[in-house]
This record gives sequence, structure tokens and C-alpha cells, in this order.
Amino acid sequence: MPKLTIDELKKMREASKKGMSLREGNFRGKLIVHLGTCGIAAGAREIMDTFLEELDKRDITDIMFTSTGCAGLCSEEPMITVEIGDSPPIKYGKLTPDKAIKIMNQHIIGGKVIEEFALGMGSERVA
Amino acid sequence: MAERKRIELMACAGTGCVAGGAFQIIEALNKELKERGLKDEVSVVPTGCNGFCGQGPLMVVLPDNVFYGWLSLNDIPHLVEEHFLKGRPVKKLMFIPPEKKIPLPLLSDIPFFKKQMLIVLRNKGIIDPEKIADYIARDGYIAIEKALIKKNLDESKHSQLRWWSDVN
Repeated sequence: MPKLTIDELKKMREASKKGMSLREGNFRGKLIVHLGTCGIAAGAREIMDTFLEELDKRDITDIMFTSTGCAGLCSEEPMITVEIGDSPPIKYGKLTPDKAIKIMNQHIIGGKVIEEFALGMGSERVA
Repeated sequence: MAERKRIELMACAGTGCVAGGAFQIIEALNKELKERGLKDEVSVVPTGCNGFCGQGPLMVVLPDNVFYGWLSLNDIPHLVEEHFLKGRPVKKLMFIPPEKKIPLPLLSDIPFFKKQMLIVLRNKGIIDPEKIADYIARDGYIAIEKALIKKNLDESKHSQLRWWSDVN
């Protein structure tokens, strides 16, 4: 059997790490898609796919991407909640894939809330 | 479709959970996820013993770290629809401390885990024991670098550990 060098081992490690970012648990922020019935009907899954693709493309592993149910504002769906660090959660409503990409760039990466799309601050609790 | 999984289900496949039907649970999860079209977004990872065998068969939902215990085959369709499709964690399957009767959603809130500090077992419930890549991703074997390069080689020799070149 050929000998494995330490550099090769490290390369294997980096390659294997790619698919395992969820398990590291070091998140600086949270991105929550509202996947209630109303959200799904309004196109939340398309928004979800957009975010997943963007996170993948940019190789962002320190944002926890998760989902929740209906927040009670069905008319504003599809909605997301963005929580970065200790700052209060921001809700964005009536999203389109274009808006999602803007939020990705300006808020999640740039750290600047896009007031124009924001519904308000606050979040319901998990469970 | 993005390459990254949205959710990983760390399904315990330790001896205790297997005795409780973990393999059937894993199979049922995979089947239900496939039927719901979630197969590309949600993956089921069998892990080694989680430690909380008394709650088995059990699983931990990542990235949220939601703990579900005492799973039965009948729970799976409801669980997949509610939590993984619609984003609503299922309280009924969470750990309920006997003294309080209020479900604790997160693994980290459960008293059993709360005071644990994992050192040797830091990969517990995070790697698939049948995939060597999972171990390597979590720094598996990398200590050899420290032993052979970063530390003085004499120190390694002094430890009297034998390696490849000694045997051959």
C-alpha cells in the first residue's frame, strides 16, 4: 500500500469536512425559513433553495440554516428571520429569489439590515 | 439543487438503540423522506452510541440540535411531515424530564447531557462509524503530525511507540 503523507491526509480532511459543516456547530448567525403551510404555498421552498444554493456557492458554513412553522403573518409569506450574533432577529417578508440574494449579500454577509424589505424585529420561540 | 444538506438526522445506531429497532427506524426515515421528496435536503446518518440509551431509539436533528427519543415506526410519517417538511418540531417525541413534565427541545438543555464535557468522546454522535472520511474530517489521525514533526522526534522515540519503519 502506498504511504499517505500528512499533506494528503490534510487534503482528505478538508474534502471530507465540506459535507459535514452542520455537525461542527460553530454558528455566528441563524437564518430561519418559515415553512408553515402558508409559507410553502407562497413559495417558501423556492426561497429556501435559493438560500441553500447561495450558502453553498459562497462556502458559508457559520450560518445555521433552519426552518420553523407559521409565524402568524400568513399574508407576508414567504418569510425569513435572520439572527446575526447578538443583534435582535429581523423578519423579512414577501420574498422573491432576487430579494433573497440581496439579503444574503447585504445582511448575512455584510451585516447591514435591509430596512426596505424588513417587517420588523422579533421572533417567536422554538417549540 | 444545492449540494449541502439542510438537515442531518444523527440516528443512534448503538447497541441499545439497535435492540430497540434503530435500523428499522432509519429505514422508515429514509423511505418517508424519499416519498416526501426531501431526500436531497435531509440526510440520515447512523452514529455510534449517543449515550442516552434509556431514551432509545433516539436521534438528534442538526443543525438545531433537537433531541427525539423513544421513537417508534408509527411516529415517523408525522415527524417527517411536521418537522422536516413544515419546520415544526414535534413536542411529543422530545425528552420530558419526569419531574417537570415540560418537553425539552434541545439536546443541550437535557440535564443528562448538560454537565458532560466530551474529550475522548468528542466525536460522539457526530460521525458515522462506518465512514472513515467522517473521522478524518474531525481531525482523525492528524495527531501523527504533532508526534512526528511538531514535537521533537526524539520525544516520540522516547515514548517507545513503534511505527512502520521499525517493523519493516
